[in-house]
Amino acid sequence: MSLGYYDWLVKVIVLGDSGVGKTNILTQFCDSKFSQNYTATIGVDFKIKILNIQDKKIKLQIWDTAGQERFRNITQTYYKGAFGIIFVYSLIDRNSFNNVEGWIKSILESTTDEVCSILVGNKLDSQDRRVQTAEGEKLAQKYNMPFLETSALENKNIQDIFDRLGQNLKIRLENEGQKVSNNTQRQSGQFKLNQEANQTEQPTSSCNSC
Amino acid sequence: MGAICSKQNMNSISNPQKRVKFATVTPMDDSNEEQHHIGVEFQYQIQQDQPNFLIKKQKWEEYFQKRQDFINDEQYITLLRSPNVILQDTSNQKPQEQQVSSQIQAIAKALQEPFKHFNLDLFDAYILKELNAVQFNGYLMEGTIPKFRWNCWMAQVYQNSQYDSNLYASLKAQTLPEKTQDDIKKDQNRTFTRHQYFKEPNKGQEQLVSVLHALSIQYPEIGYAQGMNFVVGFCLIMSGGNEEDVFWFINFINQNERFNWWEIYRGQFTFAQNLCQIFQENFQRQLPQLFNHFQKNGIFTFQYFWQWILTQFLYSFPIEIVIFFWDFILATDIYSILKIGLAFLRDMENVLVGYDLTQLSEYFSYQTKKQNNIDITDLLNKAKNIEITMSEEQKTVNANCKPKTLKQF
Repeated sequence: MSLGYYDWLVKVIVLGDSGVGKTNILTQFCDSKFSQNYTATIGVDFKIKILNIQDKKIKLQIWDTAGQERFRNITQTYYKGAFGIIFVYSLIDRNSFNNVEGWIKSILESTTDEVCSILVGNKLDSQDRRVQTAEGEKLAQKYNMPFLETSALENKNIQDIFDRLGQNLKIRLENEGQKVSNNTQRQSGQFKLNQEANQTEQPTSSCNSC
Repeated sequence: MGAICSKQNMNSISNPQKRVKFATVTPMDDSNEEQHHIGVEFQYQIQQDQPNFLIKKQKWEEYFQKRQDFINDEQYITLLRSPNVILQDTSNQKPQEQQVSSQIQAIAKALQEPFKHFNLDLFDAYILKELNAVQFNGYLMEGTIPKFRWNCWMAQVYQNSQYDSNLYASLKAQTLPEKTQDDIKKDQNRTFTRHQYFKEPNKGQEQLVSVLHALSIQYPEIGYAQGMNFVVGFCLIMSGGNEEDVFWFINFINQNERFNWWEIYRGQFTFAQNLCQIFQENFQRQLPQLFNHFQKNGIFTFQYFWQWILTQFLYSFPIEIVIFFWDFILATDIYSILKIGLAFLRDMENVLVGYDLTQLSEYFSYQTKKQNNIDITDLLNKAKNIEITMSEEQKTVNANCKPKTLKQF
């Protein structure tokens, strides 16, 4: 349990088609391991991890979501309050790449907040590549987000996803922090400043739907 | 999204040497013991060491013995084959025996045709259920034993008039839309990965794909949704790998208005969402302190209940526990999922009110999966006494969630 001081608490959502390796990326990042016995995610599973970016500690509440398209509308309800999004596709699954824009649009539709995003092409370890690096780069440029190719299996570039995301989150949060201090009336449910972990935490805006 | 995510400062990432690990390593599925065996053997491993197992075993064996006391095997087979036959020679039976014997005849006659399922043990369970459903449900609610479990579950929902021994094979041979087939394939090796039976593609996995395939054709509007894989996989384990039986079990249970299980996965998940809403309202009413604690911490009902309902607890709790949840649910109705959920939260309330967001998140995402120390008897006793209330509107929504177009049986 990650007790102790942190500067910000942030909700991060991992999105992408079923089977692209979302859970494995998170398991590698949070628990430093890769599981061959991985299970299809149902609904949402949560991971908590504190990220150190320079002198700041950002506590991530990471939402690992089910990838099947049919659940997108349901999951979309819970995107609200997300501050970071990791879009994942598989380098060996062309459809998963083609569907990334659909996932990006689902975010644009459901949240008006500015979010920090990153695009990730996973399964770099496989020989059977179906999506070229340039294609991923191009898509990332179109939506103005960083891009990485990774392997959860070989733990390649996994930490980098979160370091890059963390860098952007930090900049964003510091800007937001300034705005908050400029205007003390402003309330933001998306993150909290200077909290102890055992105080009330609420990274999500309150929403009464279940 | 946009400007704030520019690539500036990308190279000034902090030195990896300085990174401190904060998160505890959460054991995942693969750190748990691998499971072996299926069917009765699998259940026996789970139940044999339970303190009340021998008493329970005796109770159930006596219960099933009853059938033989009232009607001999020869007469029994005759009834099974030709239900309209009048049994001879009941004159030397005691009055009570005569009465039961004639009841059994009436049950067989009500089938209007021979009992079509080839399994005689299923007929046993079916007769017992028909003789006295209240008694049968009462017994089942408290948990059955490995030898009888699958047949009790089947008997609970079996409909002789619908059963067609050719249907499954014919559905299996039909072609699915490519998308559905891909979706099923993706989960083929991602279901009960701890169980030996699902490790090899040619055993459990192949059966899993076949049953999901047949069900997707049987219910084309529902197709395949994640969650079904756990339900079908579990039934395969419980039935001892009898894929045709699993197909029929799900068919029957879906057509039974007390359950309508597959409707949970229809369309935009209206039924599941409605159940989720009903659960939330009852949770708020019955456990206000814990509910408020969850709200305050930003834990939504969806975050855990969705997994419970979509997989009938299979995704979130150990199989060893879920078996008994299912005995209870099969003996009652679909609202027992809500009752068990509430009883569980009530049991855990003292612990959970002390948890913060981090702990709650980890608890619901990982720890319940390993929670083997639940006192099941106590929990289910509490669940029995929980009442679920819902609005007229919610009732109407549920009532409309019924199987629609169907392949002809």
